[in-house]
Amino acid sequence: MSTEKVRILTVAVLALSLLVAIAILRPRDKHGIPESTFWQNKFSGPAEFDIVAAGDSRILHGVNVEEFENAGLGKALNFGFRGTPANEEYYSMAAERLGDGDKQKILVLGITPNGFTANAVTTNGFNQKLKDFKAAKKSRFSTPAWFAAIEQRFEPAKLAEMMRVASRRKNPLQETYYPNGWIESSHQKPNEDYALRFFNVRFDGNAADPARVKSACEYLQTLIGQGVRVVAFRPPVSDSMSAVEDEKSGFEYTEFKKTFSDLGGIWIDVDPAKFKTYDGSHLNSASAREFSKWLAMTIKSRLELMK
Amino acid sequence: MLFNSLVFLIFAAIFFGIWPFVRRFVGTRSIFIVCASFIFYGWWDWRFLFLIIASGLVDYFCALGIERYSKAKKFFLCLSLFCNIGSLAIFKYLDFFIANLNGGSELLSSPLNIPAAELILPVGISFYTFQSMSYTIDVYKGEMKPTRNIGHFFAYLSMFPQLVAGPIVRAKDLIPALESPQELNQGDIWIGFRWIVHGYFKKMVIADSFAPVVATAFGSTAVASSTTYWWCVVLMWAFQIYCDFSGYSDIARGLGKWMGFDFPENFNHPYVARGFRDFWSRWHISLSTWFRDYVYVPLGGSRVTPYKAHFNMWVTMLVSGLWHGAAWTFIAWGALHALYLSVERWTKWPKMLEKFGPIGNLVAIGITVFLTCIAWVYFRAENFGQANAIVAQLFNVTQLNTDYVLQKIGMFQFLWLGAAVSREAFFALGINTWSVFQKPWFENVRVVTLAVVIVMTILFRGPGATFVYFQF
Repeated sequence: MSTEKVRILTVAVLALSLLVAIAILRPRDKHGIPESTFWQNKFSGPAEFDIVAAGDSRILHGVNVEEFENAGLGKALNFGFRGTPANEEYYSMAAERLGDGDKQKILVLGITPNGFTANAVTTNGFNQKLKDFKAAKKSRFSTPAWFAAIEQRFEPAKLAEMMRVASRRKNPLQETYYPNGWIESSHQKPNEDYALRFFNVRFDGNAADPARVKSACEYLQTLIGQGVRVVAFRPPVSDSMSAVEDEKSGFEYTEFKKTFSDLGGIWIDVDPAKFKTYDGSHLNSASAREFSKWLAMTIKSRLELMK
Repeated sequence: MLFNSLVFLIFAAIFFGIWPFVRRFVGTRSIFIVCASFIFYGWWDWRFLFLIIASGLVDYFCALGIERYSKAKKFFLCLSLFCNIGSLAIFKYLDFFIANLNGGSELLSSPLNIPAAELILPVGISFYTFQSMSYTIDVYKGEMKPTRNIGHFFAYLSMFPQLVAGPIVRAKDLIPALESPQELNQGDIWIGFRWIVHGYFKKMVIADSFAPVVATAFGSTAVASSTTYWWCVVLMWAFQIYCDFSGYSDIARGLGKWMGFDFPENFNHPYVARGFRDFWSRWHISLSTWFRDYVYVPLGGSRVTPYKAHFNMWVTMLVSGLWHGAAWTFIAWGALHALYLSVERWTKWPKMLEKFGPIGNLVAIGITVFLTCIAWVYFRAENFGQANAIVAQLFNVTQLNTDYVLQKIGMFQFLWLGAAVSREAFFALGINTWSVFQKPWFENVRVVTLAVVIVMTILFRGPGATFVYFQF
């Protein structure tokens, strides 16, 4: 064998040994599923759900849909994405996940002002994830399951995670990805003012657009007309966050609630004081579980009242 | 098929598994290359294979016509140019022409409202069309004899490593290599391997890590008001496009080496260029030399009056801008580089700075990178409004806050930016020429380094994205 071939072989053996060692030693979340599988599940699963929760990161982190199932509302999916626009494209993808079973089909929407801004459409996490998913799906053409399982061992590393492992520190923000689409989050040092600095400037030149609100309502009316129960609420946040959004976003919750209810939607009023966030915008693990339970029971009782 | 996909890795494994058995048989080898290349291209959209075949057949027969009917050789050349430029005009520029016609007619208060054709842009059309055209032009100029073997011609035209994003290979270099049997040099296999590994690292780690930051910044409707943020974004964009494209070229050249063919060097550390003439001798070299040989020189080049030479250079740069994309922003990018080159020709500022020794050279590199970054904004921006707003923001010294930067850009991205800049500095400072790197034992260090680079490519890869130059 030539020297060059020996060199290439040595490189391959060295690289493979290093990769296997890393795959074995790398810490993994024992409760959840790998992040890439989590996002893949959100997009690629069949239309088999009775109730789908949709909205931005406040839904993604704040609604444990397992509580919906416990309350007897049927098979549930959290279809939340970070920075999602509240528009027909997104809502229709959420509605497409509802199956044709006998149970009443329910779409639960977390309404936030950011979803109706121009930036939500151009720079949203949903589109980015959808794009990544499509690319991955294309490249995954005929990828066997055993290979996907190996691939998961080599998820891209994150610098912060590596630095923490190196210094034997625990991540202050603990996140667990569940197959039902929920990310359970808790922070060792919660700070209810943390997200305010971003929201203080988020709506500068980027206010909620009434035309986008109208367009979203028109689509929701179509869904309601098709027999889907559409439930909406304002996700609980800190008082100061509510104040900033009310003052700067240009979005009127009272007006939306009236329009939405007139269309036949079910609006649920939430008392945010009962729940705690870790950054002013996202519910911590305990509050998310508690809130989800309360939301499930409220939806159930409202639906029973309507029978 | 993307180089950074599992499908391609399987395809390459099959191809190079069969290659040793066919490479000694000249005829079979070309047919094998053509079949593999058509599978590679057809994986994206098989319908556009007919376009490559049609374009190739025209040039193949036109070249034979030029040789056989010398009195009608101009006709055959024009036919080849008409067909090649025609297909580019239809698939790439038709909607651009329509939009401009509609815009112009609106200004004249008689709107035409011609609907856009919205044709799919065939991947790599600009690359293979230019490659095909250069063949007939070279035959016309008598610089080479046309090949009679259609297998060799299509192997040259469609060779998969460089089919969709270059380097643009000249027929006079590749066809003779296809026509003769070659022994594979073991040293070339090692060099090719190194190029491929480094190419993947540049693309999957550096370029793909910057891609989300750049896409978010340029995808936003409002230009974020932070000068620091925009400088970071523009630098990341400059390195994204460089690492994306040079990474592709490295992989292509490496695969070429494994097949026993030499593809020309396409990038030679462009961000250590001292001036724009130097920059264009280092950036996308195969395209720059194509434009030099087939546009600039036929126009008269620099062997004319100084003003005419400037005019020729402007025409070449504007056409180069238009080659990259059917939008005025690309033409503006070409115009900016033409302006930089004109100023450099008049003032000879790099020569002036050279007198100040290493410091002067560093200043020259700084000026070149700075002005190149400004031009890159026009290359990437969605429209002039956005480009102008970003450039204005880049010069706004009142908004140097770092909060927004840290919110929007991760530490890993800064780390890779630092790595990319250091890599260029390594060459700018001439560290690569130190004797230690030439010592025989250093090959062992390279072995370990390459293994680490492979591991880093797998573990630190960014979100998978297509190659930037595919759209051209």
